Amino acid sequence: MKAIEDFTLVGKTILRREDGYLMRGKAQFLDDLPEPKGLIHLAFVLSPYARADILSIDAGAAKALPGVIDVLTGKDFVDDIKLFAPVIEIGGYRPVRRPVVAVDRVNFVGEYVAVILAESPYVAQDALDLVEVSYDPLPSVAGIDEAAAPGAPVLHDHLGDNLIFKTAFETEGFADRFAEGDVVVEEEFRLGRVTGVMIEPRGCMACPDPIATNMTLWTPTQIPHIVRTAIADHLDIAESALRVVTPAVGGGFGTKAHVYPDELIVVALARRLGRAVKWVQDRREELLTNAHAREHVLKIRVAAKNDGEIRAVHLDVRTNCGAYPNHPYSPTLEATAAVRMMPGPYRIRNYKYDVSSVTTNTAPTGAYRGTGQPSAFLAIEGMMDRVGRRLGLDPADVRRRNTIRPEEFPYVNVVGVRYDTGSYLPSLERGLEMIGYDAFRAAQPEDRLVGGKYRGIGICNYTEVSGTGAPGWRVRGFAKMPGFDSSRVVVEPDGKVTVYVSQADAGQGHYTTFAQLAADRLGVDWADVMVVEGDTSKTPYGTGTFASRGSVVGGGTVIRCSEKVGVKVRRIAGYMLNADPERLVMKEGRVFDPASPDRGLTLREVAETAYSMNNLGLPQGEEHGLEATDYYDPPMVTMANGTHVVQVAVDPEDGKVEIERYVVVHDCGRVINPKIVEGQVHGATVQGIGEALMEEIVYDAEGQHLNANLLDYLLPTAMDVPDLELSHIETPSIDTVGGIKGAAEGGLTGAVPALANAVGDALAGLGVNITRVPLRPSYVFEQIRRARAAQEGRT
Amino acid sequence: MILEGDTLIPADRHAVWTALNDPEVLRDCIPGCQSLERQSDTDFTSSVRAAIGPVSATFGARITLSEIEPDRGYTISGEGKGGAAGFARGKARVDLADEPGGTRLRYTADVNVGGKLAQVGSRLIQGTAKKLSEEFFGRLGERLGATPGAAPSAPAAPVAAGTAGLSGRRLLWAGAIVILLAVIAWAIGR
Amino acid sequence: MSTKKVTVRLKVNGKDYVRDVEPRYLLADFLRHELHLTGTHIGCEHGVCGACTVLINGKTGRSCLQFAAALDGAEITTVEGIAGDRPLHPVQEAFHEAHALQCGYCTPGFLMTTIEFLGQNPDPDRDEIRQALTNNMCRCTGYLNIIDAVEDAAKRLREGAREA
Repeated sequence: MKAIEDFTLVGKTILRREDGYLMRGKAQFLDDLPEPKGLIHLAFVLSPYARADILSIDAGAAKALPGVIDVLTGKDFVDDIKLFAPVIEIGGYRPVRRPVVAVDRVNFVGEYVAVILAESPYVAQDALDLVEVSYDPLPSVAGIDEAAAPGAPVLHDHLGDNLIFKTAFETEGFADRFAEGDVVVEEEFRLGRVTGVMIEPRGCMACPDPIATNMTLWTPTQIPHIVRTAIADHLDIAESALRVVTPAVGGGFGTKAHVYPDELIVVALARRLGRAVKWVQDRREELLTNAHAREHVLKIRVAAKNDGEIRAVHLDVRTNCGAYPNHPYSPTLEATAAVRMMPGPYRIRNYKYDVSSVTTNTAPTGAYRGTGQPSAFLAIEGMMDRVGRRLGLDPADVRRRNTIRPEEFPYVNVVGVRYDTGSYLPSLERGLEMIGYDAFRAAQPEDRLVGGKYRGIGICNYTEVSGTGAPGWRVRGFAKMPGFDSSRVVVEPDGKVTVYVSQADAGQGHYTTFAQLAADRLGVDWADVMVVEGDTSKTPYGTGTFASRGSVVGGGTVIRCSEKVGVKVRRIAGYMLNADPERLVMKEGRVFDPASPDRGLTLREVAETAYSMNNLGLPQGEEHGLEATDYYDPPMVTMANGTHVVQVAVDPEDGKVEIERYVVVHDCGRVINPKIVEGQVHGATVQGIGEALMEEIVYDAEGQHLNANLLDYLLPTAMDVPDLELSHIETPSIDTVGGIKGAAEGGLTGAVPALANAVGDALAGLGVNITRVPLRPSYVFEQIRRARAAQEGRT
Repeated sequence: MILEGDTLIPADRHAVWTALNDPEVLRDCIPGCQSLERQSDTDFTSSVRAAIGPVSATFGARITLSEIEPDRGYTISGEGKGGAAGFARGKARVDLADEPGGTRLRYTADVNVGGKLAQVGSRLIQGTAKKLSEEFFGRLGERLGATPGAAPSAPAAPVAAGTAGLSGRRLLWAGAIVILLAVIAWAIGR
Repeated sequence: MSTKKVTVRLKVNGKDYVRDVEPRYLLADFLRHELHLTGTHIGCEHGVCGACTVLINGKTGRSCLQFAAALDGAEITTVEGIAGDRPLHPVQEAFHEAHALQCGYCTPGFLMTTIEFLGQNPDPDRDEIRQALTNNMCRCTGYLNIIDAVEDAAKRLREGAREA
């Protein structure tokens, strides 16, 4: 393998080839695909109740509507779709299975109750109003605390209560180590419920192919192969007879990295009726039924020495599963991520965690950018500040005291995760320096009031789990999550290159970056490399694009596979040139011996030999063709890192949090394309600003969803975004191919705790304790009002 | 959610009470009311067409009166179902008191809504309720004989005056609710 | 609920179209389904996200909120009409070079908004750009590269105007 320093195209900003067709309106997202003849459009009747028995469904009027083909209910799917459930094998997890359309009982608002089949989407919508469902509402429960309380309505009888997952961990002698602390600081943190809100909602279309007797499912998913396996399992279809294709995908963010009931339903109906079947969700359905995330309660107790050393940490994480476990992760995904990521960049050796998840009458929760990490760091980074305040230490010094130092790498953390390389301290120091931390602190008055606003600074020093391989999934109970990704690299007869990758781009720029990697290894112009993704019939099997794994695992396999092909290219060229293949290099589309560069071959000439398009023949034992296939299973994980430092001004008049300065130091190992990495950091950070300051799905106590629209679920707009001051550190991984680490989630992970800490710092003089997100103006205003009233009461 | 409010109706207490118990009067005064039938002394059924933001539907409602104190007040409880649009359940206490210039009507409602109404209609309900309640009180005032020449805007004005001191969220909405039937339609609303 | 169709005439990207559609047919659906101009995307169907933004008689409008029939006779420009098959428009070039799009689903709406905005304000500062973009939502980019792109596009358009 070539040394990493040999890369010539890696680390260069190459403008994306995707942009042209996207900007000309020529990309084909799901709803832009040409519609097959006889297409059936679906619409789902959604439950308005959080928990109810379905007494009857009268679809007579709907069926009578011209253009309506049929109206089906849950019972109509019992025979051809098995009860839907992920495969999770971890102690403390209790399986729950669900019908894809409710049978007799609904458990959350938005659950599918009936399916309209119609000739047009307009008619399908009309028919929704005509289906009369009679419900008998039952007591319901929405919150974590309420669902765990004795006497709470129980969602799934076979569990006996609502506890679907519970596990614990404790290092040896934990209680004794904890007792060694000079002080104990405790806090409870809460994160609101959020979701991906891709600007393209989901949808899917199943098209039976009568000639090939197989089925194509078009679905904008991040995990095409896993979707295919899940559908094959639940519908008893041979995987070979099902093709899953992703059209252009309008954002994923983890929300599209699930298998959803509708994907099973369209395939089942297309198979049953022999017609193409399509469904596109609207924004209300998107906010009601797609996987939600977070809604975590974290209770943390930290024992610290007087000098700020964290002696021991006890973390108790409780999460809201929603009504059913999501597929394929179940609620264990966010729960185990939160407790496993908490140690972060810190030297925490004594650790105890308890983690649990309860079912409630709300939409299922699942993966969303950051997965568990914003929660973990909200807790531990919040405690760094609190330990500092308690001990009279600067919170930056508390972090310095506990951060893993450069000479300690490689470092294996308390839960067994290896940090191969990292820049934890340098990143922290650079962030502090960039924002002028010392000067800010020196000038900050006791009451934090400057110019009528409370001003504070918040820090988050984080690690970012990325590129999880099989061991990383297995240890968390994901029995059927492969971990590897794969590629097939083909040098075509004309010397141009096609790269097939098992992943599925959702805007990350794979068509450009993977071409960069292959071009680099094969010594060709990147414009001569085509990338094919998101099609199970064209690419080998793989895990998909989520959890910051695209560049690490997808990129890794493209590098390896290109090198494999390169070996064959050189072998054939050596034969043609009568030269030692080991001495040959590939550069600028040619293969030659550097000692006699004029006597070389073009890649096309080598390819023509490989494809038997001349009279040269092949060396003995060589097969025709010029391609390779590679499966790359990365190490358990590779850990990226970074630091966010934020300065805010909180207006006591309206509770609004204004971001005055925002510094990001970011280290994702080897950078493939700097501009694209920058885009990931920007995007994730701004989603973090949304999660910290405005986004929240609100359920009332009974489980009614109160803001399934974009006027009430607030996304950041251009007005909410400060200019980010961004700095990169490049510490390549020594464990992954190419030294690559993931880059997609750290922005979000850093932003939530940094903003919460900044607001907490700004209001510390008032005695306000910030322990939750989102920090919407109404909430912040109320905290300030109360604190001021209390102060006045004292004086 | 709890909603409270009050309004001054330019009529004497008995007249207001009578009106509030007369299906015909209510049917005429409740915006969008398509039918209102007395099933027994204390039970009504009704159908109301209501549009709240993007959600419009006909709500079939059942309403029951209890804790009846003639000429003084009653408790309305009811449930309205709007099919695909969602549902509302609620309870409202209505009290009447003499006041110079007419009768002061106070109400406290506790209403739950569900389904599409809750999901996309929440923020619009207040505006809708304000409009509907003004309309209701306006019509009721007219019906109860506010003399046209004396104060053409009289029916609306007291509502505004009566609610002026209340915080934004408590207003009107309630007004609408009070109107039994409204529990539904509005309730529906919220 | 089938309704009588009405005849709608629209000039879209310089070409005249006549179609019979239901009165409730949205402009977005008219463009996407009747004319197969699928570059105009639907993101929320309640006028918030801005993905469906097109130019209606030269001014930006939400095609998901307007009925095609109500716009009879109007002139519409969609993302397909910005450059057609010609080289990229300066605004598109600026978006490309600033990496101002990722998934690209919202991009057509941003392009239309930017074109209208820079027509009115050829030399905006960053705050004015933020203000102008506030009715378009992007979930991928965090907006910063879009703001850069609009700044750069303004420069390109000003220079283009000087040369012309």
